[in-house]
Amino acid sequence: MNALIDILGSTLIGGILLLIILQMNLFMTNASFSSDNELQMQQNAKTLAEIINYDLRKIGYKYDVTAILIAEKEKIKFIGDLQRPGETGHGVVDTVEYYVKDSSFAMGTSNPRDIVLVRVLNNIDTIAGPSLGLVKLNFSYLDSLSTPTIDLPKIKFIKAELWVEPIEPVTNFITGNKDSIFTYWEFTIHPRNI
Amino acid sequence: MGKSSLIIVLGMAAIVSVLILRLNANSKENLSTTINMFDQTQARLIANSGVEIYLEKLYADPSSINTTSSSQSLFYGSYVVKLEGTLPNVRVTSTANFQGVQHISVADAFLEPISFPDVPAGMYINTEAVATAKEVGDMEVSGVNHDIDGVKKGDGKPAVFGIGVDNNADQMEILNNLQKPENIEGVIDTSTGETGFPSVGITNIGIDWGKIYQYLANAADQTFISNIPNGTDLGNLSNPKITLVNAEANSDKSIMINNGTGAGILVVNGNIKFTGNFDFKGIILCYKNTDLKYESAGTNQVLGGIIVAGKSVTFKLTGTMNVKYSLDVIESVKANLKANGFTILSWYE
Repeated sequence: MNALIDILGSTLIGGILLLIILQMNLFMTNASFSSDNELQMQQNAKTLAEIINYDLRKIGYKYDVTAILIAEKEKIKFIGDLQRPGETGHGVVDTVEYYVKDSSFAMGTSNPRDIVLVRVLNNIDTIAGPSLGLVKLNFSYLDSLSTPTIDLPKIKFIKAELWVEPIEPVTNFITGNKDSIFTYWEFTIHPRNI
Repeated sequence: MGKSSLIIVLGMAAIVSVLILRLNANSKENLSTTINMFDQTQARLIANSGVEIYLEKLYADPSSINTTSSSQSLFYGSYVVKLEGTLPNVRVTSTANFQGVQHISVADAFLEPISFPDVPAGMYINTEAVATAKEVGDMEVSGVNHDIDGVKKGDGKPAVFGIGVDNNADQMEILNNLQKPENIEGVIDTSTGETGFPSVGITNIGIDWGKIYQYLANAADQTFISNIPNGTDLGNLSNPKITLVNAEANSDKSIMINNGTGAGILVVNGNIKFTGNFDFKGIILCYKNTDLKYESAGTNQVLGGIIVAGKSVTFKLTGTMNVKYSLDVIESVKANLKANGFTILSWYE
């Protein structure tokens, strides 16, 4: 009788331990997934910021008249030489345009809200990469007194705001729902040549 | 049972450790992503600072054109600057390194000369009202062209008015009070350029002298807010100086200049009194945004031109104020003045 109780007891305890281990494994998998996703989101945000930052700083370089052609919330078009002296292509000004395409163009992601940032170089060379989790992009334009303006020749500062979410929404441990964290990246650029 | 518990605990600890290590690795990677952005920004700022620093160095020492600096430390990073070109044009290439991140900034710049409007008369008075016009007539002002030694040059042409004013009322006020008309010589017929006396003409050239004053004040080689000490180097024609005398900054709101020689541009803000034995070649700009008092005692000579600008101008003369217009002196001063500084034409960053 005692042996039977021992076996039942140990089975119960073993089962509980097994459940705990399974739950821990599930938690670990989720935590890793969440952490990886968050890391990827942060890297995507940085990549987007780097690309925009690099190009916007060239606005008006080697171009003497009004270099910003379009200044809208989700679209900017400008002229400037993207190459420095000594680099191939220096001396020929480039036209660069940024705009966004809606979520239907974001392929291979399960986030229903992500959009695609498109970069058009010299009106022909269109680069539209993966969405990188971008869900919202907002450009705003400031004059020399940091007052918002849409008067193209008066624009001296460009403020870019990015909202980036993970490409795959993560299941919330507590609610069980798929919800999404996001990162917000803001930077204001003063292109030196305008 | 004890062994089993130990195995289970160790197993769970191993699983937890793997999880923690994984999360820690991601956390570090996340941090490095942010830090890398900071590194890039810092490298860019160091490169840009290198451009600014070496433009200032080039301004101070133009012979450093077409040289490359040694590695300079800044903000825990380093930069190397290359200066290329032929002045007044220069290309500055600054290569910065910060924590292994490199950034190159390239700026094209132009060395701007000091600009100064043409002097429209031997003495040009820009004001709403000339007070004590009688005193003006006690000066000896010549709008006839002189050489750099103060000798009339040929037929004295191109000449300007001896005294230039802004409006007909001031012109008549001075002409009606002249004691010695022969002391004010210069152009008397603008259509022919004929010279003679008395030469008092209207020469309103629509210049904001306040702005000119501020521009020159910013470019001044030396500044005085009290009387200029004897022996002060006020420049010479081969090395003229911009001297700012900011009389408004002292408690008397007035300054005395005496016993000295100099060349260049003398910029005075406030009331001024020349007290004798003062010999200056170049342009004197006396400016005050309110009523200006201009006094002269003893013997003073100016070769070049004088501009007096104030809301109203009061003259008081007890000696000899001898002003001779000289295009050669003005051109020489303009040609030999230091440059105003570099203007950035384009900047790649």
